[in-house]
Amino acid sequence: MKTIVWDPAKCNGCRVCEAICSFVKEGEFNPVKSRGKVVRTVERQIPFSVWVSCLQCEEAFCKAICPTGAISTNDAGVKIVTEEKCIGCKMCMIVCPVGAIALDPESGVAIKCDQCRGLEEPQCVKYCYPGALQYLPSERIGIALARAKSEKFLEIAKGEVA
Amino acid sequence: MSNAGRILRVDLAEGKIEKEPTSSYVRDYVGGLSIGTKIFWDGGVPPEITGTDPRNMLIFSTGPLTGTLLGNKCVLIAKSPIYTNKTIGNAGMGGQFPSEMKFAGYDHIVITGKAEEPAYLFINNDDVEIKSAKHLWGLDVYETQTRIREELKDPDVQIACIGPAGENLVAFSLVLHDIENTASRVGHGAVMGSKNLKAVAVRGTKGLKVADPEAFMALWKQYWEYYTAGRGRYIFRTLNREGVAIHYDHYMDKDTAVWGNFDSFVVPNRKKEEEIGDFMNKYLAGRIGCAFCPAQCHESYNVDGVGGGATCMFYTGFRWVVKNKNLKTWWKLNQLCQRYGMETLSASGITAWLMDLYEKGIITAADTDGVPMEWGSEEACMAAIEKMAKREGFGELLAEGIVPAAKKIGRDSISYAVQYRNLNVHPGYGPVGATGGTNIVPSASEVWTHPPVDIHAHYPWLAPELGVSLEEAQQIVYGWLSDFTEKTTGDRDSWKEDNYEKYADFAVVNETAISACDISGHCDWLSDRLPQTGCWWGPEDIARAISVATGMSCTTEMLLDAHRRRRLLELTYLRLCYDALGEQEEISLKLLQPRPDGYFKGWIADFEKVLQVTNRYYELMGIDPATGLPLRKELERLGLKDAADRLESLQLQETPATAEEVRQEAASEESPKQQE
Repeated sequence: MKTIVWDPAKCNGCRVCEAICSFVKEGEFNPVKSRGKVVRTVERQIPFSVWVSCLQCEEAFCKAICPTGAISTNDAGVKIVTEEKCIGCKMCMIVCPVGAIALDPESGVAIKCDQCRGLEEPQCVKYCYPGALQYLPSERIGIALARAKSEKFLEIAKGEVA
Repeated sequence: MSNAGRILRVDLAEGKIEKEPTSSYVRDYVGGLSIGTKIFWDGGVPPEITGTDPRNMLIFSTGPLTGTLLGNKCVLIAKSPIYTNKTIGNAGMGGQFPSEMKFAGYDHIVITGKAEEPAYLFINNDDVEIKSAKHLWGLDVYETQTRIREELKDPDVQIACIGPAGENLVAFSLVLHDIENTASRVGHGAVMGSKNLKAVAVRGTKGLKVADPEAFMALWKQYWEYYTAGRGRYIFRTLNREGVAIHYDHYMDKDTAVWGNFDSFVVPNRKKEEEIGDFMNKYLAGRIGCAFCPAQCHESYNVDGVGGGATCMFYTGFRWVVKNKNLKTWWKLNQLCQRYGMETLSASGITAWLMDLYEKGIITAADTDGVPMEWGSEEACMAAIEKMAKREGFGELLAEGIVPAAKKIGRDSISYAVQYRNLNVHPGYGPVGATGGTNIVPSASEVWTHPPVDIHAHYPWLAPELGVSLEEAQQIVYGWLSDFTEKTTGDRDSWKEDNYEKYADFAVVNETAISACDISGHCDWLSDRLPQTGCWWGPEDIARAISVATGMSCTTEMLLDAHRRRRLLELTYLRLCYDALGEQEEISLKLLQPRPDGYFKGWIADFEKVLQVTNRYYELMGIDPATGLPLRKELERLGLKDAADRLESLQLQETPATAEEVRQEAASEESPKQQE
């Protein structure tokens, strides 16, 4: 199974991921319908951006709580919403630990990331210019994040060697 | 399709809110700046009023690409409070606001009248409400946005607002959105202030479809690849890492940065620790920019003892021009200016002018409420900013801009004012040769926008990107420019500073490139406007993008005609304003002197030759060189018979001496004195 992982140190808050997601999934530019969200806040004139999307929980609360069985796991381990079965009860949205599920304002069904099923790779990852989004196999997430976080230490260490 | 399809009209006096379709404007004016200008023209704003008259009209115009992956900008249009003769002024603004406007379902927002009491506009998709802003009046631009977000209980609402400077009708006040996006220079803040309009808050959830998603995506991928893997990758990477900032220090490399009030072009004792790069290493907090643009070319800083903020344009304000080299002071002054919602190039230009006058003994501390206007003095700058924004004490004298201030002060202070049309000249690049024409000859600045004069700021950052020497990078940049001008003007040298013969051809191409962006909502940085940075995306590409996005077949010629209609309407309106108000433009005598020092030492602004450039521009744009008026034939070809008729009715009354004759006379009178 693979997961889309976000690196806060690299993200520049450009929201291309939101635009490309809503365009690929819904044929329109609409951040409200994007499966991944860039949460922008400003604190004392300093901007912060946090990316939120489905991390494909191993034990998915959304799937467990869905009263109609609309959420299932596909072969790749990705949690998928079957639109026809969704009754728009929003239970999945409430239990999601990261806030990764939205409600389509027009159709009234739950929408979430399916890692661009049918395409080679998630398009948000493909077009993330600063490289903040990565598409990683579960077993490599730990080490990849460790590497990313250790960059600062490595920099210092390299400086000392030089 | 990718047009939201509606124009929102708000009459603040009557509290009336109306919506009308955009469609009737689209064929002839396409979008953005051109439609906005046409709405303004049709609005019948009387030429004789000032910019802060309630009868003025303020228009927020987005383009058909705004809100897509190929656009994120809007343009604000109104009768300008600062321009001489108060003609129409427009200013672009990016950020999240323009896209949000489209998502809410509006291509344009047209604001007329004056609210009885301070108000703000809240647009939530179809619901539009005029709300009280009595509790917000007097707040700075940051606090205003925070309070509105809290009040509306929606942190994602996007807000464009004014600060105290706009409320106090300071002619160079601006409209600010988020932390750093502004519509500035031409005084839109004061226009909002004069309407008692503190802010426009927008929330939109409708989204935008495009007519041909596949073709749109293909086009965008081409654009994306150019900027991530093609020639555009150098500027893109630089913008993403060092932002716009990096270019500014390079103005010092070839001595185009102004030191003091345009008396010198050499920054003395240049030190690394006084440069933006060093400052950035210390204080950069993150990047910020416009929706859906990976470049995020603005920087956000967190400076100890001063606080956070972000910036784009003001790297030159309150720096060399006031002889300040301390970047912490620079940051503090600019943030103060920004909080008040005041434009820093004018504010710092006026302050530098006062310092010059003080040094020359033309004014004393008694003229500035006891504050000695010493070069580089933080206290003097602080006082000037505070007083101007609040219109207190000597600030009242300055709040209409440098020319009215000089007229009030008298004592030959006008000879030291460096401006064009009452706008302070950008102190980051002292005008050189033909590139500076619009800063030197007032009528030139009325008709053609100045093409990039910052060529010399671009190869220093490119050299390390390419791993080549400075000289090689220079040749590469010159090559890019020559390739571009050969393609667009048929002349490899038309971009050069001393090429007065062909320069107008380049000016027209450059202006058209900017205009195509302002019409469509695309960013004019990442476009054909800046071939010297390796950027690309010209009118023909934009026309194609508009076609696939809107489903309307938009040819390059249609786009260019939309641009010409806008320009000719502006020029017609300019003449109506000139006729109604009759103010003569003042020349910046200082800019007519030979360059005193630096790389361009001895260069002299050739008034005559700039007039030649202007005449050639007239020829290319369908304007009569003898009068500077759009030709009836061209106006009628573009369907603007009403404009031709308006002009003719003026000419029947009186044919004024051409502005140039008056100015040349003024120049010849003044020049002996300058030589003394």
